[in-house]
Amino acid sequence: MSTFKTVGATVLALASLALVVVPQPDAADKVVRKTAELERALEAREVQIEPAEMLDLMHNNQVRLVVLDLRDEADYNMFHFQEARRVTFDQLAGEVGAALNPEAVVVLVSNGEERATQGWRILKAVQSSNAYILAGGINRWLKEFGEYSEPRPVPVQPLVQATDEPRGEGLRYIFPVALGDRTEIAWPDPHHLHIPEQEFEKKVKLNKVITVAGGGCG
Amino acid sequence: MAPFEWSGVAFFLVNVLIGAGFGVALERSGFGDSRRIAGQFYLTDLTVVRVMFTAIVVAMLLTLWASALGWLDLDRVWIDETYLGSGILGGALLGIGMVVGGYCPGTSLVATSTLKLDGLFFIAGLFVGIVAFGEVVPKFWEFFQQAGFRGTYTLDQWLGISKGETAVLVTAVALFTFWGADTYEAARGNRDKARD
Repeated sequence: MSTFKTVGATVLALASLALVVVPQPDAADKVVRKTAELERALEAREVQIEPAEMLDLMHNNQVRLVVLDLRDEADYNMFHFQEARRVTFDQLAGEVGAALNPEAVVVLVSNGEERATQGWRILKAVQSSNAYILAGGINRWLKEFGEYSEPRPVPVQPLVQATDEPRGEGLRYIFPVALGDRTEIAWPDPHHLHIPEQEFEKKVKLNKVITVAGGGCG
Repeated sequence: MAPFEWSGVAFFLVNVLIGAGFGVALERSGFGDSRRIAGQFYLTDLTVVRVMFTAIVVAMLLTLWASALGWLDLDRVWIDETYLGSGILGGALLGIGMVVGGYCPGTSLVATSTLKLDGLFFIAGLFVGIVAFGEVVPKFWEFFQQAGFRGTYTLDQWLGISKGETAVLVTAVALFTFWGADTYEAARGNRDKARD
């Protein structure tokens, strides 16, 4: 056997044997590796999308938008996005997370950002979904688009400062009756409601699952 | 860390470069010659098994090492799903086509790119076959969609061992195959000399 073949065979053999000693990352390893990456993305606010971008996604027919609502039933019944599904953290880690289409854009919502952020961490740790958080949550959505609703949502507590961005988890706006999604701002039509176009920093990236039909030499 | 997010020109450029590299590799391996491919089936030329098995082992080791080092998340890599029935039947038909025509679809493109007429005729036949399949597949749609479906089913799952152990096993089979091919060719060479 030539030297080249001997060296090549030795390299392949050693490389394969070493893989028995150096194991593949398990679920715990992946969580640890992912955690640092996830926290960096959260801190840089790469995954918190503005309400204006959420509005854009709602009317983008290239996007499969999935809205997951992590609030309690009372707040969900008061107001929720059209077709938003109320889920728990366990469901995110379990059947709901597993069933998500990898090409879908998933937006997690809560009243502020805390629960949505926690849900986002869970979802990203268990599967590589294209998930985002609604910046400011339902509170900010109602603050920005509430004027286009009939009836209008009323602040539960007046904001102390005009610049206060409600990120905490209490629902800060309520309707006279629990409307669920029976209000135009549950899925607003910007043309119909004359909502002025807003500029936003586009954060959502579309995932296209690349499948290879067949293989070998083609 | 993979996946890399290319778009626009960069995306197409990467795909073109990978495709070009693949074409060069096939052509340099001699797979633009139908006699070399058909020779694998008649056991007169064992280049195909050497080249393909080497490619499989190298790609397997690079992929698993990239995963072990955290450079590649295998959860995000698409793996073809297993359809045993249609895979076996389709594989058999492909094998017959390769022996008769001397090419598979990819190598026929390689041959055509070097202006070989048999490659061009193989491609023409390929298109006829694709159209014919499209016309008749509704008649056996259920078989085609469901035959022996196993989902994403990898060798390590089937054997019930770790990916590392599977890599050792596949590499060992490959090296044994290479040794066997060398031994067989040496024996054939001696036998041919003896005949002469």
